[in-house]
Amino acid sequence: MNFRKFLVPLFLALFACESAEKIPPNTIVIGLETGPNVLDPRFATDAVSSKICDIIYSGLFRRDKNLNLVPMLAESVERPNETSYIIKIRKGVHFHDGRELTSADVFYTFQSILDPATASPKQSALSPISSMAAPHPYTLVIKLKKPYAPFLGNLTIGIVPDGSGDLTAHPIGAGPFRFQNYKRGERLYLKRFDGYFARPAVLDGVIFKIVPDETVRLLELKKGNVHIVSNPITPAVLPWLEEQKNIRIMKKIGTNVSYIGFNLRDPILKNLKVRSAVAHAIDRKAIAEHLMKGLVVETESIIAPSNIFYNPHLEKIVYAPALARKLLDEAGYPNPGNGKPRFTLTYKTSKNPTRKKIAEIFGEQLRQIGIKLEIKSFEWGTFFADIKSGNFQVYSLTWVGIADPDIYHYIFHSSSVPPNGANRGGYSNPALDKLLEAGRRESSFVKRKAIYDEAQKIIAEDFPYVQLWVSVNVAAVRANVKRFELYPDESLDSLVSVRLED
Amino acid sequence: MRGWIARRTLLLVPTLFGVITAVFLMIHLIPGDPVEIMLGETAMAADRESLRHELGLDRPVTAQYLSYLGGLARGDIGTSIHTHEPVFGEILSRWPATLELALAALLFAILFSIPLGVLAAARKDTAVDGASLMVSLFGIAMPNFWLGPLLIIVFSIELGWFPVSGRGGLDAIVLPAVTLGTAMAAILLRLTRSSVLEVASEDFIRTARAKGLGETAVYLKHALANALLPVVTVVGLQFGALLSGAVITETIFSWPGIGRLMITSIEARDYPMVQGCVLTIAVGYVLVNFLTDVLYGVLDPRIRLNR
Repeated sequence: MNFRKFLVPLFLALFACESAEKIPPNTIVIGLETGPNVLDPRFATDAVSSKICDIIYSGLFRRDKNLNLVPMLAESVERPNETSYIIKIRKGVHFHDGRELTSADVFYTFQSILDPATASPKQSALSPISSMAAPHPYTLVIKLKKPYAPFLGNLTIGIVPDGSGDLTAHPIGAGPFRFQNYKRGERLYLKRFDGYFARPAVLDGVIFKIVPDETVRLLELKKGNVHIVSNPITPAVLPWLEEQKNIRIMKKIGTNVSYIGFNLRDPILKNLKVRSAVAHAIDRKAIAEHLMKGLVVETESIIAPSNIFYNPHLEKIVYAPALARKLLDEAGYPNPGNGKPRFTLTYKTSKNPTRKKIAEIFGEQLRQIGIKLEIKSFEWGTFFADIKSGNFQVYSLTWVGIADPDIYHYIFHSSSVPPNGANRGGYSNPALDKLLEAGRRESSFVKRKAIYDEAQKIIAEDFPYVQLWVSVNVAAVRANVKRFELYPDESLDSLVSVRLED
Repeated sequence: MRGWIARRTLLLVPTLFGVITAVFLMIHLIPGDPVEIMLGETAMAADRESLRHELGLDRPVTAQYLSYLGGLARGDIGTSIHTHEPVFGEILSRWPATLELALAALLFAILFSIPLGVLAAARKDTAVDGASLMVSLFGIAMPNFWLGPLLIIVFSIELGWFPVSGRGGLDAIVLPAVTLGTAMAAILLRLTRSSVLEVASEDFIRTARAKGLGETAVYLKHALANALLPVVTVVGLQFGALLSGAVITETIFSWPGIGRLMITSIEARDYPMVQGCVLTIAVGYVLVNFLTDVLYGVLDPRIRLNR
């Protein structure tokens, strides 16, 4: 047979073309589950794309370790009145292609986000703007339609060069790392930008290696082909990781807050005593310690504890099944006896295995106080569509990356029922509405803080949610990686100061 | 033969049309909204609406379907919702990895199973035969998601012979190819053995022996050549399965192939990308079956003559 004649050269041609890629010197490799979809800050919405854009591009501001807003490209901000901002841009900032960054680039970036034709998902973040001007290469003037206190927090978006189209294929920013190449599904390679306006990175480069399987990702780490693997790490593999030599585990309380949401239109759940009973029947501490291996910490607010707006004086929800039973009796749902439940609730969750396990534990804990929990788990798309349309009784979800407390308006204001916002349970409280409207207008930090302290207290007492826990960011890092720091919002900012030892 | 090939090629059109329509309907009917998944929980309603409009997702499904077909007719299979890049380029860049992996797995399966299958048949009911049965049962029973990490732990972490994951270099393909090819090797091993045994009882084998040929020559020259036909059929069918079934192996070994692209696209509800992937996989599947049919003719002149 003549197969040999063509098969052998075919195989040689297929396999001979590439050789294994070596890690360049002084370059760190970070293992990722999925690669970034886009590398243009105007379009980045998923966590990976956003995090990576943040080190390729620089914004006017950024959030530091404590989620405080600190200036980056902005040198100073003046506010002649409640709706005007005069932003001085730092001099001597250059893009990766050598061009100087001026107010024209900032103007263009914001203008293109606001242009509907760009279809940027960040349009609303800038929608409070009524007009903009760049009267001077280092001055940008922004006027708002009406006072909006959290506005500057929306100016963390990376600045792109004037006139740029979609930059995903060839990103050009003014951040500490510049784009080298990206093989989708394999790796993204960034190199240090020597012309960075602040102190340039110590590393020569960063490689994001895409390894979708968690076990294999951790094996690559063990082998030393990858230096850092961070969220998500399944709690169950932590004990194994802790045993490994040359790998250390880092933890830091994050910003992702999980909760149980109630549908307040439901005849049973509109009763505060029932919601309160559910809250007291759930042993959050046990779940956090045993199932989640300390990768979550109980919290009483959707504002993360690292956030300056967090109210540390909220009353802790204690695990008290006896109290819960009493509350249910008072609510008019006495125990019918014979092992029958007082009533049944349907709980929706996603297919995520950890979430399903948690649901089963909730079911067991609620059974102890006489509530039967029927668990329904759906594929994410279906689950989320149901939650959004209010088609649920009880569900559990997580708020990701909350920085400004104005989110309370989006989640709990009576006007924020979907599609206007995320008040999915239909919660309505005029006193809270007033507070949240005031918080939006108030520009004094002290006064705003007082407003949101009160808002957090109201929510903690009214139980539209049962606050569960806040995530703990975790990273497994090779011992030779120095000065890597975890941020609450999972930012990669500390890569600038990371050093690799031999 | 040429007329037959032309007819077969024409038949591809309705098949592919059916596949396109079915996939389009399925991906649009299952719940889940690409915009929702892209923008996440905290997105503002206005951003959702403008993005939905920009992507054309606010139009009726029939209109979307017709414009998709229109695009296909012009040879345009669309732009990815998520990466903003043309679907065709993205898919084209992923196919070589999948083909390479599938071919290597096939090569492993054939090189492993056919010699062992012939040997098992020649040594029927001996320890060798028994061992081959054990090997094939093991191969069939072993799921990829378990075999893959196991091979990595033994051969990459402990022995350090091969890279843990990723594509590039001859050594990188060994473990994924073995993982993907094991189940197929197990099937082919059993099939080769039984097929050779069947042929071995035929008259011409007795004739060959009567001529005074040695056992090796009898098995390799006469029995094997005639026993290969069912093996080729299964290889053809299984190769299609290798292409579409490489998903798990590709995920384990971070192999940047079409299977992984499809899975991530389905999770993201990246409609154009999912459709593009399925379309090319369907074309690949159909082409392989077509080639198998042609290969019959090469292996067995009787089939060719009948046409």
